[in-house]
Amino acid sequence: MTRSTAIIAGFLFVALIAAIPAALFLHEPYLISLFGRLAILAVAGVGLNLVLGHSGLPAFGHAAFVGVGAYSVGITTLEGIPFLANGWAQFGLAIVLGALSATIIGALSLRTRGVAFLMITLAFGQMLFYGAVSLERYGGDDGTTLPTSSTLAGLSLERGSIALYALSLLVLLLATYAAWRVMRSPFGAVLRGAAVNERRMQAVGIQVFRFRLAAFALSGAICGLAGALLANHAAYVSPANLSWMRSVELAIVVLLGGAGTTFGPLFGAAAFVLLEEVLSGLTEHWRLIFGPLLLLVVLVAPGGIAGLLSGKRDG
Amino acid sequence: MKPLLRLEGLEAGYGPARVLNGVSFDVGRGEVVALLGRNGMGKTTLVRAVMGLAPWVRGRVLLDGRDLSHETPYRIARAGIGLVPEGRDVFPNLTVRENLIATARRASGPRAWTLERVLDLLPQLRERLGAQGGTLSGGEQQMVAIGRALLINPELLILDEATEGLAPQLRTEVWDCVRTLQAQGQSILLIDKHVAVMRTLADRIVLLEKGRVAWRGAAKALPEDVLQRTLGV
Repeated sequence: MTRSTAIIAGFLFVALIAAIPAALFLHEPYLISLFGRLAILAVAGVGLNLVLGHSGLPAFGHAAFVGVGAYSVGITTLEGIPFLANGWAQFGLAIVLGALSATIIGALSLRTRGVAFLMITLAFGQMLFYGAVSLERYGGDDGTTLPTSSTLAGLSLERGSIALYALSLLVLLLATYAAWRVMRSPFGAVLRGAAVNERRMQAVGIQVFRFRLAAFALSGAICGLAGALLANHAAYVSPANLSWMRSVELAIVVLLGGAGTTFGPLFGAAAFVLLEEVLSGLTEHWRLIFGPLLLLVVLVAPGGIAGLLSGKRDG
Repeated sequence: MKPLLRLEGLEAGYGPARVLNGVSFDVGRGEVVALLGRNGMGKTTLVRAVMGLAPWVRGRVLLDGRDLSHETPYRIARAGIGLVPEGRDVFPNLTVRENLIATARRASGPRAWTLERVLDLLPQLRERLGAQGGTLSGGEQQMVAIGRALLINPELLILDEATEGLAPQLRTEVWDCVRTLQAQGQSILLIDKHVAVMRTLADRIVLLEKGRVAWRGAAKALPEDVLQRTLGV
């Protein structure tokens, strides 16, 4: 992280906060919805970045953990289970189940490398996707709308509400800070070192698998939390939350912003959501423009936006 | 006295190619043993075999009586063998401090290695703690590799071609460092091409030739004709 990227990230975050008075003053609640999606995508990006960016592991099924978090909120809301019907329990459950599912999937997939790892994470993601499709009670393939939103500390996190948006920003801030602290600790140094040379790390007495599994679990927990926010943001949960297309979106956010950088997920989510917004206003085939743009970024600046801002093309 | 490291009939290789043909020797506690041999005689393969990094290994590797022959590399390192590998292998994306402390293992007692004690031994690293590993000079990388190996608090330190590619002044610094460690009672297996220095620095010498021990004994007792025959010096 360079000073310039930190300053730009700071400005971006202030702009996200400023969207609250701007939306109120301009009577444009859409701003809150748009930037809320940006913030939630960035939170999930922070989670994936721990694995894909810092640890150098091509995970391709992280939307599953977002979906697990979303369904945790969805199912507890729809079932109205008394001790799980409040926001603290729902968000806690989303974090725990996100971490648990990531631990199980990580324990099996982290024994492989490269393309095999990518394919196994994709396969597990699709397994959970079809698991969600089979939940007929919760709308099956179509998903289901949520009749009520989570309530945290007396605040209702309704769709498009300032409370939900403010919470999303707070979670983004805390997740980014936590990821930065973790990656600057000896634990993070092992992950980053093993990304460069796993064998070398083992030769100095480190069981890399355990460190990566812990990172995978933490990553799943953060994505689960993003899912809980997403369920409230959309007031709707569906298997689409877990689809491989969502996993691709998350990977794009991380790579576009700068894999393995502190603020990469924030930059990536901002670029993704804003480009999508602008380009989809021009044409319904906006992905035809977005794809080559992404290719250009990968070729010109493999370090993503954070790499460009820090003056290092490779990040 | 029970040796610290004992190799018994060690065989190792790559695929069908056998490089080590039944190597046996010991390293005692507090002893510095130099492993010499021409290029391709199996020195680095022996190090890889000891560390569990060779594709296949037969025979036994015992550390303080514990059989490490079929252990994984990280367990071997945890058992107490610190490796300074050929080519240094400093993590380029980590700072010097991170390179040193990421893999450190705490130990107790006055002889336990701490970051502060490593920086006292290798003072040139003190001002470079925040520098990225990839930006260091060859000599600095070597010092980081030594410091990193010491910070896992090894019973045995293995230095594989630690002075390879270094300027004469830096080579002397590495050897001085080895002498300091020797004086502190650190057991060391040293692989180095500088025979004259090894004869004065090491307690014992093991000469490898075609994957076998051609000669072993006290460094001072190494006969000239054996040297001439095995190393051509």
